[in-house]
Amino acid sequence: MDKLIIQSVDKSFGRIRALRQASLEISTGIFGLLGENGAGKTTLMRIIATVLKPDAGEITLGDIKWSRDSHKVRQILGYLPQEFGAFKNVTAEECLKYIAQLKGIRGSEECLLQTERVLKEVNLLEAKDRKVGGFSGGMRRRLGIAQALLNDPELIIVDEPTAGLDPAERIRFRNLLRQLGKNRIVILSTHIVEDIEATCQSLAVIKNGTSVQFSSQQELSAIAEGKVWTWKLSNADYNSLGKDVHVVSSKIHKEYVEARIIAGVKPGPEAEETEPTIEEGYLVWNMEQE
Amino acid sequence: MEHGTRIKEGLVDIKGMGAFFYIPIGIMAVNAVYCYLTRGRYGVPIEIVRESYGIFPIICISFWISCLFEDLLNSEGREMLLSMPYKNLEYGLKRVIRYTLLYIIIFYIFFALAVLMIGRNVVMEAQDIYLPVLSIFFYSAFNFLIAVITRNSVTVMTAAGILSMFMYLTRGSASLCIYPLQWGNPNPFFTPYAVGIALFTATLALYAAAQMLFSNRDFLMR
Ligand SMILES: Nc1ncnc2c1ncn2[C@@H]1O[C@H](COP(=O)(O)OP(=O)(O)OP(=O)(O)O)[C@@H](O)[C@H]1O
Ligand SMILES: [Mg+2]
Repeated sequence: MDKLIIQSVDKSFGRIRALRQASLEISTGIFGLLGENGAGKTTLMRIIATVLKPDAGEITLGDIKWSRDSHKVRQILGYLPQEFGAFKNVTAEECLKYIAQLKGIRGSEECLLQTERVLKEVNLLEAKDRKVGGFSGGMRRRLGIAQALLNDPELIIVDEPTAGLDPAERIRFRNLLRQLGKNRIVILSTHIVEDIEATCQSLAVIKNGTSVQFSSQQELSAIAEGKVWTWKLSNADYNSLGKDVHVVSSKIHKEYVEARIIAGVKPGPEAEETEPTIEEGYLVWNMEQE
Repeated sequence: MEHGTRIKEGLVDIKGMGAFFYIPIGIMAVNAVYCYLTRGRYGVPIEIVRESYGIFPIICISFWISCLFEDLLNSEGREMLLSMPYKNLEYGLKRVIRYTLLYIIIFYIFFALAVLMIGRNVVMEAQDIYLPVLSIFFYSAFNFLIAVITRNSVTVMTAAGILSMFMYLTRGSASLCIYPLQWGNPNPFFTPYAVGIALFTATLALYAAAQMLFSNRDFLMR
């Protein structure tokens, strides 16, 4: 399948430059977009989803050009926006059937078939006759995911899809994503590193509108190589660690605390160098940008 | 097949309107009762119908049109819908016109009911057909435009209310014959024909402006 190529995309809102020369090359599979709040993830997703036009730059997939063929893009697209809500007075099934029609699915039988399929996929089949207005936050999110899957899109864009899902649903969703990623492009934006760890083959990190692409998770974690240490300290020592020591995580045991620390040099005599995780790679990358 | 799909999509639109779908119908029903109660009144019988149907039942199309875009335009549902491959004209103007026509049909059903209830020999003129139709279309176009600009159904209905108040008080004398209440509250200086032409022109202009903005998804996203 063709690659989705994003070339030097710029977008400003007044004085705020939300995206600066963002360039990515995305092939079949799940692509993670990692970035802190306000980094520009949603802006980039919206541009890919054709609801915003970039100030400059181009996106292409095979011979589809975003600047020219927005209608074609929309026909192959499944998009779950960060904020999703719709049709409070109608049932989940009616809502999806309506969206199926907007997506151009012809024939009521086909609409019904697809609606049932996606409802099953997000585990909402039992709630199909309930009004969407009465759904919980997580259920609404799942309805949003279901909607994105209608018409079997070639390109799926999900913006922070796991926000608000309970642990079981989060795992279900990751599995679903993995399945979807087998034969299409799925772009997943998140600030939850675990989501990326669990699903993505390749990823990009975005900060202040600038994106950097990594071909694998290892490439990102490698950034922190030689800078991550585990240190077993007594409770008292742990509590007296200075503010300048960057503790990433800590495990409390009965007699001691095991802390993971990011530091350019060995932070203490008992500290041991250790294999960095993606989260640590991401944190170090973020610190280096500042 | 195509046709069946459209009707079902329509039913969801109507369900999506919730109670607002029934408010105009309720008001028309109340007016039919009013016509029945005042049927013996001195004067030309058609004027009873004009008076009671010429104001609120016409303005009330606002309830429908503002709801038609509620989900598309409110902030939560907007983004998803704007990424859909709908045809701008199909989902915008054509849908508005389809609902306006449905509204007009219902309007005339109640109109006929009122005439029956009055039970006297009601003599109708040409204006009793074209003025209500053009006035309803005028409100439909006005609401469509305000809905696209403000994206808030409460604002749309408020705007329709303010416009109607202004129209009622000035009797169209401040708006170049564009007077959608001429049928129910006539301005004696206007001929129905001139008002009809003015409404028709204004409606075309409003629809064109509204559809132009509606087709610009970047604008809708703002
Ligand atoms: N419609 C808008 N008008 C003005 N500024 C905007 C608009 N949309 C985004 N921005 C700004 O652009 C920048 C990037 O925002 P964006 O929503 O893309 O971030 P994000 O990475 O999705 O953040 P989050 O993790 O909080 O969702 C922010 O500084 C934001 O304030
Ligand atoms: Mg965001």
